[in-house]
Amino acid sequence: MKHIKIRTRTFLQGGIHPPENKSVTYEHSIENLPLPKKAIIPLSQHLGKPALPVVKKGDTVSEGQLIGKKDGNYSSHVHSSITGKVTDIGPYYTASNVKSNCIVIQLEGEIKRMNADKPDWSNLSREQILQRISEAGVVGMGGAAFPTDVKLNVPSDKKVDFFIVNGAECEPYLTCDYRLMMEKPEEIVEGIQIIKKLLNVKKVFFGVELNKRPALEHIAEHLREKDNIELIALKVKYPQGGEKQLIKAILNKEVPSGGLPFDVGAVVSNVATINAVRDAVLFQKPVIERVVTVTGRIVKNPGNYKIRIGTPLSDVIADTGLTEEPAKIILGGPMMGPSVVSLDTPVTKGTSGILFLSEKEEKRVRYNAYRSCIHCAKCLMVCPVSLNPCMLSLQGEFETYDQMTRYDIMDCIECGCCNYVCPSFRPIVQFIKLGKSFLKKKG
Amino acid sequence: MLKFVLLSTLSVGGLGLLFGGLLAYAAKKLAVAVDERVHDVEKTLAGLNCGICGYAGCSTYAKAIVEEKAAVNLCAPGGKNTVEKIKQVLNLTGDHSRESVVARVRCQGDNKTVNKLIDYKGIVSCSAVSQVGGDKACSYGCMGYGDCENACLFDAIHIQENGLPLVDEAKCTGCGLCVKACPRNIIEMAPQSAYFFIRCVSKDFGPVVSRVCKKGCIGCNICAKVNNFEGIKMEDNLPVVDYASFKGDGTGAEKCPTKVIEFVESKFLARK
Repeated sequence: MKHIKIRTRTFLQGGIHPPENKSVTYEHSIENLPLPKKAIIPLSQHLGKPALPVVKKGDTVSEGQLIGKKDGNYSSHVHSSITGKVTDIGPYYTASNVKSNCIVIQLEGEIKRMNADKPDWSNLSREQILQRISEAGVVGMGGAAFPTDVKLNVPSDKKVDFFIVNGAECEPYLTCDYRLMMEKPEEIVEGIQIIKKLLNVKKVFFGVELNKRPALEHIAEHLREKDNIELIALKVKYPQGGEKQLIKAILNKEVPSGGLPFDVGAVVSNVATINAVRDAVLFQKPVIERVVTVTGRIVKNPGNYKIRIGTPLSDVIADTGLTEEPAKIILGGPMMGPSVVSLDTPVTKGTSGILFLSEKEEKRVRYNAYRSCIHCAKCLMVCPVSLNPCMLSLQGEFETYDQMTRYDIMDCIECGCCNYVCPSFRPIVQFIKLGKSFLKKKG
Repeated sequence: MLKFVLLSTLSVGGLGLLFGGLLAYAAKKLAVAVDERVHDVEKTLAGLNCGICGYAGCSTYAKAIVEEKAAVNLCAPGGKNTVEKIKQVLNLTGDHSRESVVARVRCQGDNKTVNKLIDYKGIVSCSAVSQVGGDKACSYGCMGYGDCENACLFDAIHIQENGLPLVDEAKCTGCGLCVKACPRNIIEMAPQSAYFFIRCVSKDFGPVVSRVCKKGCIGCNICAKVNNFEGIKMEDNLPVVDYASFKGDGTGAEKCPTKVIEFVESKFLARK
C-alpha cells in the first residue's frame, strides 16, 4: 500500500454524484460472449474521417484482417472481428437514428488460434511501437474514440512531463474498467511501461476513484518501486473521467480553452486503451473485441463481457436475456451515452457499456415537457468547466445561436451535469449540441 | 484680464474659421456622387429591411435595381404596386421581373404512411430532432415539427393534422425562408408555372424506400423514360425535373408505380 497517496484528490469546480448503480455488475468477472453469427462493423468508429473499405462483397476474410484502411491523419484502421464472408457493405444504424457505412460479415470457416508466446518489446524503436499501435487500429476506449497513435505521437515542440492513467470510470452503472483493473493488473502495468517509453516521461499517475478501492489495492500489489507509478485515490465525483477534469484533479493544472492536454504537459489514457496498446505492441493484435458492461435492472445475466466489435445488440440480448421489454437502450454510460433505435446496432470500439432501462426507469426522463428557466443557477454550480449553461440554454431556446459564442459554447464537454440538476427538466445539453452544430455549419 | 479674453476668443475663433474652411473644401472636393434614382427607388420599396429580396436591406436592393443587377419584383412585402412604381421611377418599359416562385413540399410521408421509430423526448423542433437522425422511419422525409411554419413571415405554410406542411400558394411570396429553415431540404422553390413535381427526396434504393414508405420514390426512372430523359434526369435514385426545359405531359405521373408525382393539369393546359 506504500504507493497510494492517502489524501484523496478531486477537481474543485462543479461536478455531481449521481446514484452509482455499479453494484449490478460490480462482482461479475469478465466473461466471453459467444461469437456473433453476423458482425456489422462500422467504418467510422473513431473521430475523423471514416475508414475506406478494402474488401468487396463476397470476399472471405479472416479474424483480425484489415477491412478498412485509415483515411487521413485522425482516422484509424478497422479490422474484421470474426472469420467469414463479406455479405454487404452499406448504411446501417449505429447509435441514434443515424446510419453510417458498415461492413457486414457472416460467420464462416475456422478460427485460428492467436500466438500465445510472450514476446519481448524492449528492443522495438519508438517508430515501430507507434506503427504497431496504428496498424492495430487502437482508439481511445473511454468513449471519445480518438486515435491512440495520434495521441501518443506528441509533436516535437511540445514537452510531456506526465502520463496519466484514467481509471476513474465516473459514469454510473459502468464497471468494465474496474474489472479490467482487477483481472489484468500486470497487463495494464506492462502497457503503461510501453507508453512511458514512447512518451519518455518520468512520472506516471494512476487515478482511480475511491468507489473502486479493491482495484486500487490490487494494482498497488502489482507495482514495483522502480516503475515510478504513483497511484492516486480520487474522490467519487462525475465527470472525473473527463480528460481535463482528471488533469485538474491530479496535477491541479487547467487545460487552456481550446487546448489539448499537451499544453500542460500531460497525456491521459484510459485503462482499456492501455490494455489494447499492450496487445497491439506485444502480439500485433488488432482491436477486435473489448470489455463491455451489459447492465440494467431488467437484464437476466448482467455482467462484464468480452464482446467482438460489430456484434449486434440482438445477439447480446440473446445471450444475456431480459426480464421485460426495455423502454430504452443506451450505448455507454447513462450520462453521456446515445440511445439506440435498432437492435442491429453494433458494439463499436468506443462502446463501454450497454444499459437497458425499463419503462418505469425511463419515465423519469421528462424532457418533452420542459419548462422555462427560473435562473436558479444550479447548473452554474455543477458545471465542471465553469460555463453558464442557463444562458446557453436560453440562447438555444430563442435560436440566437450567434450569441452562444459569447458564453464560450465550444468549451462545453457535454457531460450533462446541468441537465441532471435542472429543476425545470430543460434539455440544456441538447440546446448546446444544436448550437454547436449551427456554429460549425456557419464556420 | 481683457487681454486674456481677447486672446482666447481670437485663437478659438480663428481655429474654428480655419477648420470650417477645411471642411467646406473637403466636402466639395471629396464629395461622392449619389444617384438620385437610388433614393427614389428605395422610397417605393416596403421599407421593412426584411432581406427577402436577398440583399442586405432596402437601400442595397434599390442600388442593385438601379445598377440593373436585380429584377424589379423581388420585394415581396411591396407586391405588384411596388413593381409598377419602380418602373415609373426608372422609366422602364417591358418586363424586368423574374418569374415568381412558390414553395413546394417534396414529401408525402404523413404520419399514417411513415411509422414513428422513436419516442422522441427533447427540444421540439425539426433541427433538434434531425440531429439524432429524426424520429420517423424514413431518414429523408418530413418530421413535421414545423420549423418551416415558424420561419414563414407571411402565414403561408402550416403543418396539417397529418403531419405534413401545406403551402398556401396565394400567400406564398417565394422568399425562401422555409427552404433555409428545413434541415432536410425538403422544400424547394419552383416557378409558378411549373406543373410536374416529384414529391419525394429519398436517395435510398427502392427496397429500402418501400419498406418505410408506400408513397416514396423507388427510383424506377419510368417517369424519366416516358419523357425520353428530356428535362428530367436521374440523380442518386431520384428524378430531377428541370422546370425550364421540361415539356412533357402527365403520362409520367400516371405511370409512376407509387404515385410520387404531382401533375397539375390546369397549369399544364394554361401553359399550352
